[in-house]
Amino acid sequence: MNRNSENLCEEMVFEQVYKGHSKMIRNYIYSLCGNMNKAEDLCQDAFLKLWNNCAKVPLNNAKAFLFRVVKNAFYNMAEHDKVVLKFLSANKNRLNEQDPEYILREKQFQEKLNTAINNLGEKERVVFLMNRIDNKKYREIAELLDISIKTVEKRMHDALLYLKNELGNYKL
Amino acid sequence: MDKFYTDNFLARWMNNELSEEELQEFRDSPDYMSFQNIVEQMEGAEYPDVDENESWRSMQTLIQKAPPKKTKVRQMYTWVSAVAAVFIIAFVFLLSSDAEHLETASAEHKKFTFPCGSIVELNAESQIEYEKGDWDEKRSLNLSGEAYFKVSPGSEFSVHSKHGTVKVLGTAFNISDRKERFEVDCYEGKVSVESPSFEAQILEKGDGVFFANGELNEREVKEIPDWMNGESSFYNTDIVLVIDELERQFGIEVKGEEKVNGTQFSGRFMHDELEKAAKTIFEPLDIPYSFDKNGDIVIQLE
Repeated sequence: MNRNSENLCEEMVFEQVYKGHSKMIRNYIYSLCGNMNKAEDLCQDAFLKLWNNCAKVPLNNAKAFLFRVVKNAFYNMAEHDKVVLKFLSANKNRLNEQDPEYILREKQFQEKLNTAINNLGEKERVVFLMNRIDNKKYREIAELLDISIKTVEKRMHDALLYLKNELGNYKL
Repeated sequence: MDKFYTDNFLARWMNNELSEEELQEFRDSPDYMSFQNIVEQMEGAEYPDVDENESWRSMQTLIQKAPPKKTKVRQMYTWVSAVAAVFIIAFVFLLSSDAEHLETASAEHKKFTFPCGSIVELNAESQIEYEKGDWDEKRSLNLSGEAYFKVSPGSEFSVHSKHGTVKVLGTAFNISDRKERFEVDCYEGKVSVESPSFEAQILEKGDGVFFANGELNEREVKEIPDWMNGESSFYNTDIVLVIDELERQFGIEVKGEEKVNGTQFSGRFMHDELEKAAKTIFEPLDIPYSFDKNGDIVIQLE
């Protein structure tokens, strides 16, 4: 309850909320459209809307509010480009491998994986990336996207299965 | 072998939820390394870099151009400038500039008074939305989840939910619209219920209807809804909906609920103690369950 008495209309409080949630929201839109500039714009639009409603939105509802706004704004956009996500991906577990052939294979694998993720269904992709890159728990994802935990699990399962089938038995 | 590829198996694997045996069997399967490679590769994956400080600075510029609105009443004479502002800022504002939103999280109930003095009490994980500007002329709102309304006399008061619309002049009623089940109970006065799924109904004090599995049924209601007294009650309700309510009221998760799909439950549970509530639901149905280390419930049925 105490947290609720903090006012979103105070710039310092707002700044904390921004720094706490903007990355996650930006990444969410990025996982939908693959364009970081667009993701940043929509994210800031959503925060601006939160700012304009700062007197009405309780602090502990801010995250849900932002997600709802940004999701609506994204789906209301007229044109949706083909998704081209690009991940920086260095496999930390294998960094000390020196074999050039191995490094090449890994690079190819990374590219194939990147392409496969782009081809994933949008719903599966969003959930998979939130869990794998943003490290959100299934329950948190369910809350943010307003779906059940079972749906999240199904999408995670389907995502990994799809990726595995796309990549085949590519040997590293 | 096939079981690795069904349901949520891989999701549970990625979340380290597999049992020792399941894990062993999975590791021995020929495809295991392919899955493992993907998951390991993802560990190094990152989104394109964004300078967080730079991002905040540009946000700061935006909000400093738009000082926070602390007043709640929008004056008519500012209408023209408001329109201009809307054009400048973003079109997303057009959609819901005056929409008021109220919601509850799990294990939370919330009471709210409308400008006309009418009262709504929201059950857990429910939300309402309404236009604030012309509330006195048009008392209309959208509901998802469950709520109790006490409506003061005045113009027509209507509640729209996924399965139907309830309209009244002044009365007290409860609506629950969750998944495929729609319930309306009238506690005072009269209400009319309209839905594309069934013929319009007029409910008087003490009348209740619920629509489930494509059928409309009648029932009698008491003084106030049970959930407002800290309990949840069910009559011939699919167990999955009962489990959903348990999850909502205690903010927990029940794992394996698909195993009991199709069972019907009539009865009630209190919102004070999870152990007791779980016992009340599962024991009469002979459903074995346990609590895991997070305090979530795991259904043990094979």
